[in-house]
Amino acid sequence: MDGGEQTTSGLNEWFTTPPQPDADAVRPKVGRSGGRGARWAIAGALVLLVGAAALLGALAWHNNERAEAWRASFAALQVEHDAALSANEDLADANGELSDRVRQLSSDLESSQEDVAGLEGRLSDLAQEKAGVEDEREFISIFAERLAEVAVAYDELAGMFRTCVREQSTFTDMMIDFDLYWNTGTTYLVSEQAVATGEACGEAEAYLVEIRRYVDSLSQ
Amino acid sequence: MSIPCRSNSIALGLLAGLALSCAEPPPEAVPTGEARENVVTVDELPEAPGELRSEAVERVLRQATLRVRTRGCFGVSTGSAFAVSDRVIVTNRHVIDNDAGIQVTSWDGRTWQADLVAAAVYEDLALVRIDGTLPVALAFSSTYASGDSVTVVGYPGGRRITLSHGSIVDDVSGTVFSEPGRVIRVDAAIEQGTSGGPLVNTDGEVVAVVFGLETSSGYGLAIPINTLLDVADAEAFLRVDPVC
Repeated sequence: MDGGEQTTSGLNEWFTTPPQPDADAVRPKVGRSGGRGARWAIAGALVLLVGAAALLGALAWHNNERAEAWRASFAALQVEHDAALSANEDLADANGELSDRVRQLSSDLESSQEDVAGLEGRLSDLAQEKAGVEDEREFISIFAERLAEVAVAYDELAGMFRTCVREQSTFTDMMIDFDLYWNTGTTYLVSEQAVATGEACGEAEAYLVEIRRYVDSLSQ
Repeated sequence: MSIPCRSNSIALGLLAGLALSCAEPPPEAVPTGEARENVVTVDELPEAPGELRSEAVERVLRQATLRVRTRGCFGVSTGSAFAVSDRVIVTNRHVIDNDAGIQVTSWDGRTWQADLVAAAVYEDLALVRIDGTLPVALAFSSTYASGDSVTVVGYPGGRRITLSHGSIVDDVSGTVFSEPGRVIRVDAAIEQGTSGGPLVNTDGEVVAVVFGLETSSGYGLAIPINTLLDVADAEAFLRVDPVC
């Protein structure tokens, strides 16, 4: 630092303290060689001064250039920053909208799930009703088949009773003409007819009982 | 999800094959466990958090559990069943006894006709092959323990499908229930009409086939899935023809 201060002090001397004419210095004391040295010193000092000025100028120009570049960069960054801020705000808005949309979709989804659950419940109820109706239809179908069987059985029964009545009628006629059978010694024919009548009517009555039992089982 | 004891696909294939083997000649090829198209089992459901998975499992259970209508000679009876492949369902023998025609209905009202019925000789088990394609089949699990949470799925009284939750009480000798093997007792609510429905664990795997109710205790009774697989292994399902 001492050297720097000395240098500054030296420069100040050059700029602030112009050399004063000195009668002793102007007057050559030792001939021409002493004046030439002073001129070289002055010229060297001037060269140094010009060099320093050029260096400082170059430094200043370079600093200015860098400052301009930084200003340009700053301006660009400012623009980018503003754009980023704007984009951020847009994103925030979009995010808000998306959040609202997601909430809405979640709500819609929940509602849809409830709808689906409701529809599934309704579908299950309808399926149950359908199954119940089909059960009844099957039951009625079975009952109709059994009733058809009963109708056929009653038809057979009617035939059996007709046989019974016919045999009874024959037996009654024979009883009316019993004297004839007695006189001819053929009363065994009347007896046989009585047996046949009893068998035919008994068979019909037994079948009737069977049919009634079957019908009773159906009603249970 | 692993099947602890046996391969589910082998069991399904076996059951489907057995049902098919009863028919002479087989009307068409039945997809087996190895090639089950249009079938989604519970264990194929995507992993999901508890509640969602539980809902998904229940949905599959509803889809795979079927209502069986048996047209008898003198009336109609109903029971439950569950799908083990896309054409074969499992139910109880007493559900299909004295049948003159069996119809199978899903929870959403679709109806199929049974085209082949086979019943176990001694156990209250039966297989029914239908004339269509079922959307979902259930997986099996042959492991269970007292206290395990289970669900009974079925159509009590022939009404709409229900899922009844409870737990396994124990397993006992089935002799007093006319069953040759072991019988699982559960405290889940069971009604007439639930017979043939699946007893499933929390993963939706079938542990047993519900078949009755112990009147003295009120416990539900179910035949372990092992018994079903044993009967299938022994080829002890015999074809059942309509009686009237």
